[in-house]
Amino acid sequence: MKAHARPGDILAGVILWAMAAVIVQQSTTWPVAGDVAGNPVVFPRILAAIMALAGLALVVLRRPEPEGETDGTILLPGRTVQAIIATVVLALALDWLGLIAAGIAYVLVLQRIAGAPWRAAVPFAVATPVVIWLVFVAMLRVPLPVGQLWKTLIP
Amino acid sequence: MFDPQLLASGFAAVASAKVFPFLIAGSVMGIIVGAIPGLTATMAIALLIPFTFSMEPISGIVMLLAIYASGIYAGGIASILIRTPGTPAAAATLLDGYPMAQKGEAGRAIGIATISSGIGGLFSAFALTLFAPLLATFALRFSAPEYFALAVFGLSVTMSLAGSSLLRGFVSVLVGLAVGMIGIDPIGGFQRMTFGYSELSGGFNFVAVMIGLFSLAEAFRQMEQMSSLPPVPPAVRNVLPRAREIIGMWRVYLRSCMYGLIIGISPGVGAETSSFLAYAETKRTSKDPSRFGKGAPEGVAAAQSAENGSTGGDLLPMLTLGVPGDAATAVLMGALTIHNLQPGPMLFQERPDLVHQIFAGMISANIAFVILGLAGARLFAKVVQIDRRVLVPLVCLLSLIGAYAIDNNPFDVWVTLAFGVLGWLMQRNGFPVSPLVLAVILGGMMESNLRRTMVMGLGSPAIMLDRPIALVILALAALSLAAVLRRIWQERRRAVAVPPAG
Repeated sequence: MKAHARPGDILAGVILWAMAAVIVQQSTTWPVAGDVAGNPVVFPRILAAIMALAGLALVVLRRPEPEGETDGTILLPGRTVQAIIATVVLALALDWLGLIAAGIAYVLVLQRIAGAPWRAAVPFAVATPVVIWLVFVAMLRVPLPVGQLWKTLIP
Repeated sequence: MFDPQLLASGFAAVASAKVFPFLIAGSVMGIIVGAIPGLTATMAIALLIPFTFSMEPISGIVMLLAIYASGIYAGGIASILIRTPGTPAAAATLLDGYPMAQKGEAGRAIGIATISSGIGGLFSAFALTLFAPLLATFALRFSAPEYFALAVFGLSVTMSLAGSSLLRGFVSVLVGLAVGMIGIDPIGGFQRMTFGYSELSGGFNFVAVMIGLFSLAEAFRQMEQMSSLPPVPPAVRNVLPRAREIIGMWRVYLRSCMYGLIIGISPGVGAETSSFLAYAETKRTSKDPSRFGKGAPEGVAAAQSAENGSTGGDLLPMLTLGVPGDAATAVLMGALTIHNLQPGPMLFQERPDLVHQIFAGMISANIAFVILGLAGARLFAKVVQIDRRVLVPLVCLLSLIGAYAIDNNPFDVWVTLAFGVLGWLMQRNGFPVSPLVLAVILGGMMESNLRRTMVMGLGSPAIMLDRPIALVILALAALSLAAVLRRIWQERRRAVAVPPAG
């Protein structure tokens, strides 16, 4: 079992320090209570202190490689990054385009990123948002985004 | 206390037209999701919570319990057929299930796995039915100091979920505590760490967080692993095992069910641990241990019965104390709170009818998956071949729309996306996700009850010394923490002993 400083651990350690700093900074803005329930900043600041120490341990200590298929790098695999970008675009477009149009495009893009053949991808990409719409809106009466664009075009 | 009449009413409710279709639908969905490698029961529960919003609470809860029980069972199907565990807990089933399939006994292996899971699940569901009311009655004595101690105990044991690195598990707990702090101060009532976002005034929506961490993160992880179709599974024939064969393994079942139940009750560990321990013990006590790993039916029976044997145990602390035992029960707890049901001893006082319906639902779910699993074995065997390149994008869309549907709020879509990316990055770098989720729940419970304890003690924590139950729980937490620190120390010594690479 290999044991060495991993870039992922170092990055996580730095993030922990940043989170600890934010907690301490934020706690300075909270009202200080002197009642019997104790000062509300104590628990968060203790947590921040432990986070700082854990961050230090992550950066300094050497540990065995984690189990599973992690490879110890912080290089981001292309397909997942593309999927995340597509998801950000969906989140931005959802209100404007609505579930059906944005959902069809999103599923189709993701399926192609994953390597699905067009023949299988297209029917599922079209059917899935429609089925989700029917189940949520028609059966369960849970409203989903219609799309501002369609509301404008078809008043 | 356990009430047979209420249980009978519970069965009647589960058999009603309002609930029964959801029991069957949940069982089928659970088997399908569990059988597909990479998709877990926890993921399925998180993904399908939004579908229960507009249902009667008992319909939604029974559906999610059915997904939970059948999802745990069905992980074994892929283990047996294509040597890839459908769920992490099903890895022990693979050891003898796959060799059985290679010998042309895939149907027999699936049959034994189904019956064994049913036996384990029913055992633990009945244990839950009997013991949960007793524990809930005892827990009525609990007040803020005891709940604070329970949260500390839960967090200390949660770190054992870390796998190979306890420090990474600890870090996951710390991040969960920080996430749980966002929102309103539990005593002072002022907003903290909301950064001007009014949507954060009540904290992150817990269901959106869970969908992100368990569904979207897993889908992102799958995106980087998919290359081609899974191997073609062998033919499934003669699924129904002989009664004599099942009865002949009664010792295996008794031992494995006990392992499952006890390990299930322990916070932080569940089906994965119990199945491996039961398998190892069955092999150790066998007259001919050399048969194991080469297709011994007892190996499949031990692993599967212990897996489902842990489900009732996992639910016990969640239902009675409001302390989830593992990630799946944390997600189930989130589902209960969505329906305005707060798990804990008061639930047993205020809604004994519903609690007994939950017991009846859990028992029925274990019967349902046995019947469906045996009847549809050939069909479900084909599920393992589903093209994940087509399926996983659908999971992504369902995750995001499910998050939106919680409050019809686009902000929750961003929360799910953020936690999806966080969960994926954590998994890639060996940080376990489950401790984070448990810490979000237990952190809030710990802080609020600590400060209520301070109020009870008029500003002094010395009141803890007058609370023997709290002291015992804290002592257990200290013992558990000592064991964790000992493991960290041993791990560090091992790491130092290895010369640096290069």
